[in-house]
Amino acid sequence: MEEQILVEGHPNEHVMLIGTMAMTRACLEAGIAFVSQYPGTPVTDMGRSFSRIAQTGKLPGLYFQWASNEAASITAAAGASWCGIKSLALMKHVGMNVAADALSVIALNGPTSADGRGGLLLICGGDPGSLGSHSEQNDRFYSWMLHLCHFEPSTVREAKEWIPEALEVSQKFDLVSFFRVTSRIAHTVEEVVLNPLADYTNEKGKFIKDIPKYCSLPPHCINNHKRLYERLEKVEPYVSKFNKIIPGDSKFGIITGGVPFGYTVEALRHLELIDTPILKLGVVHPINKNQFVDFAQNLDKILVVEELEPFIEIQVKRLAQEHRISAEIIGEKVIRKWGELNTSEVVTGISKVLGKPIDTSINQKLEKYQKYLPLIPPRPPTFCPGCPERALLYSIKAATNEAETIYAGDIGCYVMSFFPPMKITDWVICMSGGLGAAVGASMKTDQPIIALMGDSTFYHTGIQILVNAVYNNANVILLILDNATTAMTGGDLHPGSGINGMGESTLIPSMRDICTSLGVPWARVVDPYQTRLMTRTLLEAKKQRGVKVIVSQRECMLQYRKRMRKTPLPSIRKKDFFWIEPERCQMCGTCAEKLCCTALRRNEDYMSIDIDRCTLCGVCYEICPNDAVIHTVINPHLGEGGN
Amino acid sequence: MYIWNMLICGIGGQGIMLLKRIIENAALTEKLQGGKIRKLIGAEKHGLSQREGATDVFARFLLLEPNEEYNDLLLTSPTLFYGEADLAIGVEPVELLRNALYLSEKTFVILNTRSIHPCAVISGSIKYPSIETIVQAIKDISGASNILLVDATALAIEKFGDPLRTNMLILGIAYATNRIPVKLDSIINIIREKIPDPEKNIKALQFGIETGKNLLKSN
Repeated sequence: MEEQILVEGHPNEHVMLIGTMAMTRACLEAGIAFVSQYPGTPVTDMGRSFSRIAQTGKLPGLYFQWASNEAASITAAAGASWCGIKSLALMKHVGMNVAADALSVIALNGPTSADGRGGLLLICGGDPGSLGSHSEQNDRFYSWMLHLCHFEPSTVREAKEWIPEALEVSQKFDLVSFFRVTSRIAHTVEEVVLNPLADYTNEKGKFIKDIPKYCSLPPHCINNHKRLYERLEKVEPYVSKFNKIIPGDSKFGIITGGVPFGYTVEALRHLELIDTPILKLGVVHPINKNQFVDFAQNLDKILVVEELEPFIEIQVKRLAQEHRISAEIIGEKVIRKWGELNTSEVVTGISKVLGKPIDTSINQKLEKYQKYLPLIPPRPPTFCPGCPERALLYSIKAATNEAETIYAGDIGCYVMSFFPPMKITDWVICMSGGLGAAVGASMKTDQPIIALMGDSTFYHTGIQILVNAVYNNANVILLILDNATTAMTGGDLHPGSGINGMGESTLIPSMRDICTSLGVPWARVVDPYQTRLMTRTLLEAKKQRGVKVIVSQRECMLQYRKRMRKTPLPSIRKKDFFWIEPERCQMCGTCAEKLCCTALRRNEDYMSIDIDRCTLCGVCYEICPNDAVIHTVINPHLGEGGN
Repeated sequence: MYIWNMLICGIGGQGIMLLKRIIENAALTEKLQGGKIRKLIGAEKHGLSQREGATDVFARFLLLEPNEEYNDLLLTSPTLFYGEADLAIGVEPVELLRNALYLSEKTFVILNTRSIHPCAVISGSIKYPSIETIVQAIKDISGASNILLVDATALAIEKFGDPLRTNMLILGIAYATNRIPVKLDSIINIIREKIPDPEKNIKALQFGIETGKNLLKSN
């Protein structure tokens, strides 16, 4: 619905855009010509759009790449920027951890070319409330530690309007612009106004040598460190234009930034405190001193409203001390440091600070709600009907003793295997952290260990950890879940996909060959739909010592269906379907508890299949011990319903 | 001044974002033509929740009378305050119960009674509550009394032979309640412009409106 707007939308056109698309358009208006990304919620769709747009050739010179990980992405963007090209790296909050090693030096050296061209924008998707992540890590502290100029838009409109300016700040002050949005900006839809796209040309960049700038070793690294503080000092007065003071007569004021600004304004209206002055920070590092002092000097009490750990609060407390501001500053004491905020949380926080009675009607409602909670079946995300990973989990359960085996989980769709009834994941750390910990555990316990790793994770950081496992002779079965895509983010390309972000065909590496060339003594490739074969292979692997690799190879069902829908297929549903014969179903639990496909339905005394949700994978048909699952194929030549 | 709030909930993959965006885009065309709607914000959920997980989305419109002055701060939060929903659409029954805190006496509720069982129900560790229990709980928590129940999925299969028409049918039923502050023509135009198979969907929408009117009569 939105993508054509990104390139074909006219200047001054008003459109409804989701945050990610608004930011993508803003990048094209800003003239960004190099983009590198490892997919990650909530900013994945941006890369997908850049990829499609770059392939159309409508914007000559626009280049996009799916990077193998975030360190590859940030260094590639820095390299392009050093050649004078306006560059962008995109990642999620935890991706910052992978990028941080490189970013700390890129920030020190400065992202521009030696003659002041280029500029590096880093759009980072934070996720308070873990709406699509395995943690809600507070990525904001990176801007402090690595000296980044840190933008926090409060609305989609601001995000769109500020991106060109943030890029300009990067180029003008030789700083990395850290543009942090949360899921609530990235996935909020708002009306935005389009500006003209930048002029795109095929002009090449040029790298100009400058050893003191780019080579980080003493004495240059010390000089660059000193120079970095000079650059930050220069940018501090400049960023005041992204902040705003909303005046009010009250002696109680609020400092906030990002999405919590929206909750704050509505909370103040609910509490009828509209005379409360607000300092809304658009740049939260460095904080503009003069604006803070002007705002705070006549107040008695200041509440800082922000999500996760107190980042603004500790900075303004320090400024208050330096500038002898007497106002009491409160934040984390009344605003919780975990989860996502909302208007109601802010209402409660303000009420506490001002000693106002808290609205009891909300509590009564909450109490009633709590009473009914046990009725509501939890609905964590799970595997799609027909998912090859669900079939693999069935075989793992069949081949291993669940009580004694350690299942080392990792990041990807298969992380969902820790939810009941599967419970095949005992720990989750980070990308490739599962195998990493399995290596250590295998040295100190005789329990069997099975590590799970997706194909995208394998290329991200998994190969390095596998090297460690082989080199140190760990006793682990590694299951590589190769579904030919980065499935969790919605089906994105990776180095094993055979195609890259510019649409060029690439060599598909053989995962088994990679493993054997690294020294893995035993490696097999098995289709997870063949549950008996997979179970046998697992049993065989258990008998070997050392690192055993099984590549569980089957395309992601979502991707398969997306792909097949493009070709004309007969209406398969009425001519080819699986169903369960109620008389034969014994409610034995094989399909319901061990496979737990969500196209199944539990009835009083038999299981059934929702035909409109079934993807015809046939795994329940293969595993049913009572032959209750029937596969009906009606001869297409006879037409609907046969003769 | 009035802030109109809508909640749509269901599970990832049911197409609730599209439903919301149709209404939003229709509202935008009216805003640009100088209607009462002056600002629009909508919150969505993507990512992990796509994997059959619980999903809820919000749409919020700021409506002003011609004599009222516009201020950008009148509507700023992408999510709702408890009890704020004017219209709540549950595309899946327990998902509406999960979001019952956003409902109150003023909320008009459309509930698709077609359930989709989560893993815990399929595996037998927890029972899926009956529709009667769900409706009773929603009423008790929120005080909402205007609740339309319809098996829109079955209706879509019966009438159009295609479960993909479910959401348009629901949109039609919701529209029949007069709680969507947007003209029908604007909605139809958006479907025609931006949705695949527009004519089939418009047919489902219109059938939904008929169904909605009949349901309202019999309620």
